[in-house]
Amino acid sequence: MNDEQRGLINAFNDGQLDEKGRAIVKELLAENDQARAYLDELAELDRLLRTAFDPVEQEPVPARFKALLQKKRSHTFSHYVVPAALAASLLLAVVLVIRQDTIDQQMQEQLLQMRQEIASLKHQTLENTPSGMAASWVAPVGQTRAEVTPLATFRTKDNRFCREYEERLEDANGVEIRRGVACRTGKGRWPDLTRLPSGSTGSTVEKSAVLNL
Amino acid sequence: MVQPDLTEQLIELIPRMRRFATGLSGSAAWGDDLVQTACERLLLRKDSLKVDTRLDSWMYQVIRNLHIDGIRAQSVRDRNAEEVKQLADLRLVSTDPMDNHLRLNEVHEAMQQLSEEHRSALMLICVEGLSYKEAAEVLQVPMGTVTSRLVRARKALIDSLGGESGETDLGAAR
Repeated sequence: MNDEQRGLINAFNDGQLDEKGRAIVKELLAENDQARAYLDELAELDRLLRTAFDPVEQEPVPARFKALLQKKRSHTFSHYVVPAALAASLLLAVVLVIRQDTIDQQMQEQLLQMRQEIASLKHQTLENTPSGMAASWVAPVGQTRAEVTPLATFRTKDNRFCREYEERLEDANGVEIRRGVACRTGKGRWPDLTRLPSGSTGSTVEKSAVLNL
Repeated sequence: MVQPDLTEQLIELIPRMRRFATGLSGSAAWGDDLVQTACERLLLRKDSLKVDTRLDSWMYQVIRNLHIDGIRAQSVRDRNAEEVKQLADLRLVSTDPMDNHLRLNEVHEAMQQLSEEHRSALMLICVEGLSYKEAAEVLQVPMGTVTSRLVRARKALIDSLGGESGETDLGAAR
């Protein structure tokens, strides 16, 4: 088979030939085993490609696209990024307070709840939010606020999707920023691979101990 | 205001655009970033969109351009992330659920080893089902270039999937 014949068989496979072209290829296929095998290869390759990529097309449209298209609204996050204060600092303060407090149990529960909310924010953000866009969570009471921004997405050699992200925790006492890399282990599950403090206005070590998400 | 019909058309296109962007970038998350940025661009520039422009062609084209630009920006980030990647490769072993779909995994892997030109030709024609003429418009090259690219891209992918033995029969390679 020469290049021209390969090109014709490709075009035949892709339905790009007129009647005359199809007749030429059919004749070639009838007399040439190699040509038939080649056409089979192309068809099998296309089948594999579609099987590999069609699942993405069959997923429901993610909510974020609907939100983007149904409302004309700015997605520049600076609009709703409020200057920072830090969850961890608040939590530390909470820990200090509860030593002498009779509502110890209740506070612990709130703290746990807060950790879970922030962890859930991280997983959801890494699952759904494009790089460079922040997602935030604000505590129902107090000034605690957490923000997670995916920074970059990459794939490991074994086909695992990983994302570098920045986590910003704030409350009235300060800001803590940490960077991490999390890799997807399933839908909405992004355990950390690494996580390091990258900047803080408070006492990071103690905060990290309290806010071990 | 966003024209309602444009918005509806765009929502209908999203599944195909996500498939294309995922194939092109090799990552669902990155692919979604591309699609979202392309949508935002369209909404910003919708007034300058020519009446006869096909919306899907425009979107494929913008997604591809964003992807190519992204690769350039990414190369700087990649150097920084290199260490992290190596760490990831070491630690992330066979717990990947995709292991159950080894063959499809191979397809994804093999696609990412191709050049961007080959990958975009395969995605547009074999997966997205565009005609050679439509693909030529998206890729902004003559039709002859598309056809020769496609033949080479298919050969490269078949060779890659055929394994190291150089076996080119996909059936035998399975």
